[in-house]
Amino acid sequence: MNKFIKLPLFLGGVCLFFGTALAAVYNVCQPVIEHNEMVKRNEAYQVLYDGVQVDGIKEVTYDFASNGYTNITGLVEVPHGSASSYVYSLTTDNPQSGTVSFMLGIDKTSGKIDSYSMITNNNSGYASKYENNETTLSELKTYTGQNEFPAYAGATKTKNAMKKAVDQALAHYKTLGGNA
Amino acid sequence: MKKDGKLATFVNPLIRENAILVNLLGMCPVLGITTSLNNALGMGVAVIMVLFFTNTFISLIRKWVPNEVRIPVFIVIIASFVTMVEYLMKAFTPDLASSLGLFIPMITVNCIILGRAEAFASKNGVVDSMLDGLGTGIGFLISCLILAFFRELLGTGGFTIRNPFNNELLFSFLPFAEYKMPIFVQSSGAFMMFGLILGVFYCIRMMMDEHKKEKAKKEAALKKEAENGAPVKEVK
Repeated sequence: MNKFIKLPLFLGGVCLFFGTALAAVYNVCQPVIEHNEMVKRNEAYQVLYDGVQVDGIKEVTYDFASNGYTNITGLVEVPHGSASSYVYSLTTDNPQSGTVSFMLGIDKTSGKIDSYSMITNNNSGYASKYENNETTLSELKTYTGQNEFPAYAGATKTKNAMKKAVDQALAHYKTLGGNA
Repeated sequence: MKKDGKLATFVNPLIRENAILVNLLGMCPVLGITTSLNNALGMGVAVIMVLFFTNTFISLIRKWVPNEVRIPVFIVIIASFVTMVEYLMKAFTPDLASSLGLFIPMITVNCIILGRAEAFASKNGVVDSMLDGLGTGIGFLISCLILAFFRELLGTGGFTIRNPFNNELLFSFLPFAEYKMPIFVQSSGAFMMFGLILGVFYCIRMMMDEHKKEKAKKEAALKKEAENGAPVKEVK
């Protein structure tokens, strides 16, 4: 048989065989990996609130990007104690070379911001000023979207990017029938 | 003791032809992940699995692999087994997998694996290739453990062993925590410690070689003496 046919055929056959084997291993492992990731995510929510009811965490499916909420990357409802909160995963636009990802919780009934946790900070500028979760949360607790957003000297671009993301979360909360 | 045949195939790569300490191959993960015994053990087991299965499979199909495409075929086989090991580690040892990070997929480009596939498995039988894979892998594990032992001891002041399946703390012994030297868990410390270990290892090898030479000389002298029937000057 011509080498130009034989060699690719052999290589193709090897790829097909191993592709099938990989698919089989993937099918076995993927549910376990997903379960592990869910446990990890739930652990992250336990940092936000005391007494999180892990089994009650519900993911809210919504096409954020198509509806103009470009900074929202995810939303879950987290029951904790006798209350429940919506936790938004937010990523800022690019304020000064790098984005900031953080979680923001809004109380389901009162519409007040009740939790904040920075996840990643790839920003080389002033986003580090929002890294202290406790300080930032204490300032954000009084923020309603109408009043002044917590600001730090020299961090105007970062503040604006953070504000835009938080405003989107508050605006989306209203569409869920909230009071904010 | 001289080891021949299958036993030699398994035993030689452990120390005498150790891929890390003698051939200095596949150094990248060794320097990168040996910050703790846990990581070293995880990486070592992953490499053993990949080496064992790739060697076995390549040896099985070696007679049918056309020479022109043998390297791409080996790479496909190695990459597939590495991906399988990566899936399994992410599923069953998630914390260890996240701790090893990029070094797991990078096993694909580890020259030990391709080296053994090309130099040994593609030319030898299945059993020999399996033994070679196991021996080389265990040799890699031994080197990683030696390096991790000293780096963790000096860098953290002791040892912390966790269950790789659920990350539970099994054992923590930190008697020198106050005197720890964190440089040893950083990359610069990895080079320093590896250099020291290599130095000691080469000293031991040189001493053993000297001892062997001396022994051989003595045996030759005794043989000559027996042949001539006359006493020969003692060889120092």
